[in-house]
Amino acid sequence: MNMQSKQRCLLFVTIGALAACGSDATDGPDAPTDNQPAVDPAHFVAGGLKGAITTTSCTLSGGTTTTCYKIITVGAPSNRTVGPFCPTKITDGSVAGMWIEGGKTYDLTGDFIANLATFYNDTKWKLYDAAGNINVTNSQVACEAAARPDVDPAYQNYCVECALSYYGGGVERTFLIPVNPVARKSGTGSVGMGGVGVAFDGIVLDAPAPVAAIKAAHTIAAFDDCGGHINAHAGYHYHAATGCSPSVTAADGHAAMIGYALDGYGMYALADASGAEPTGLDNCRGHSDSTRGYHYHVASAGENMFIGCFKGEQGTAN
Amino acid sequence: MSAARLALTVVVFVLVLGLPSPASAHDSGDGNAFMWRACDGRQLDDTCAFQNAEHDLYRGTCQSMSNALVCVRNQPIERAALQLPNSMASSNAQSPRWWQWLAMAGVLAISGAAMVVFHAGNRQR
Repeated sequence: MNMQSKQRCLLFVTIGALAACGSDATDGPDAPTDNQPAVDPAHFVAGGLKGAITTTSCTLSGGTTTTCYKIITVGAPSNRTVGPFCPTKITDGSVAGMWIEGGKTYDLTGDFIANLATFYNDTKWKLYDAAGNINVTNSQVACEAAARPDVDPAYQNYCVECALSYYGGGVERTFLIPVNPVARKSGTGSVGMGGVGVAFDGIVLDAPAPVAAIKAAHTIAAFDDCGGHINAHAGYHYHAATGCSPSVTAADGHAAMIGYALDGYGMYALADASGAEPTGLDNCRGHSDSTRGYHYHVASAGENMFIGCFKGEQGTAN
Repeated sequence: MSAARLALTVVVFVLVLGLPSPASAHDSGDGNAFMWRACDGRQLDDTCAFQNAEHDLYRGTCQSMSNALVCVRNQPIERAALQLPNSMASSNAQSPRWWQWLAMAGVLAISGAAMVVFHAGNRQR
């Protein structure tokens, strides 16, 4: 190989190395469209509401003043009882609730609890006593001490569950959602602590939270099979969509609609009638079509989240 | 070892060891913490990727949730049985971090220096 060939070789390899790095993604291909459907309050199940949905003037996160639907929910699904969450004995073979780990959902059985040390490769996990009774929070004080981000040391190695009876049967929530979604002029809105939307049974679709502190205390904040659990602040809330909540199916085979995001765009299930995931989602997990306008598709239950950000200006959840 | 071979060795070394790999569920037992770790050192809207325990690949972008960045998947899950080998997948999955850019700049500098040395050596001969 002569010198020029060597130089070309070096240049080729170097350019190839840089090209292999890839580049940052740009935003998704779809943006909110002009044929955007308005929010349809008829999709909400009456049993989950405190009263009729009304309209009121509101100011959205981007400063736009518009008309919002005011949705007051009772904080408990009307078509089922929440839970169960934690098994009570490690010999209990029946499924209580579920756990989300490593992108998957797991049935919470006594056996699962008994094997947590192996599951996590950490011998400090031991949520049961010598008789095989699982440490389960069984009072409001216990649940709130164990469910807070800085877990009370007394409740380390607990399976945490709270009851709606601690909170009068449900924590009332008020959502203001724009009747007609207002697309942001630029950028996207971040997901905060107030949730990302509301399901048609009136239950808040909550944002994920960093769980390192909770896991460091070796506690499990168990979910029921519907992907929900209870805390003092949010009441019963969803962290995953598992198909429990009411949905509106689509004649064209599109994924079913399960709720609205705080910006008024529809939230749809992950997969369509054939089980296929959508493609071409933007960073918020949304895209547009001619029937539904801009809308979101929630993530899988094992991802412990729904959407990534807001394409429109948000209303509020209190 | 000639300067050219040295430069090529450095390039290969950086490519093999320096490229990022997706955060993995095997890293620890912190629940879905790997989804948050996948955005360590990254910026909002940067690409990210992570693998679950079965090595299924999740690709997305870093989004802010409760004031922390988490990797939000926006592409269909790539099941382990269908996806590329990890080394190939990772090189496509994540945008480079600052130290990788630095490493690449180093590679460029070394390559350039090697070419200068060659050129000078050739003239002397």
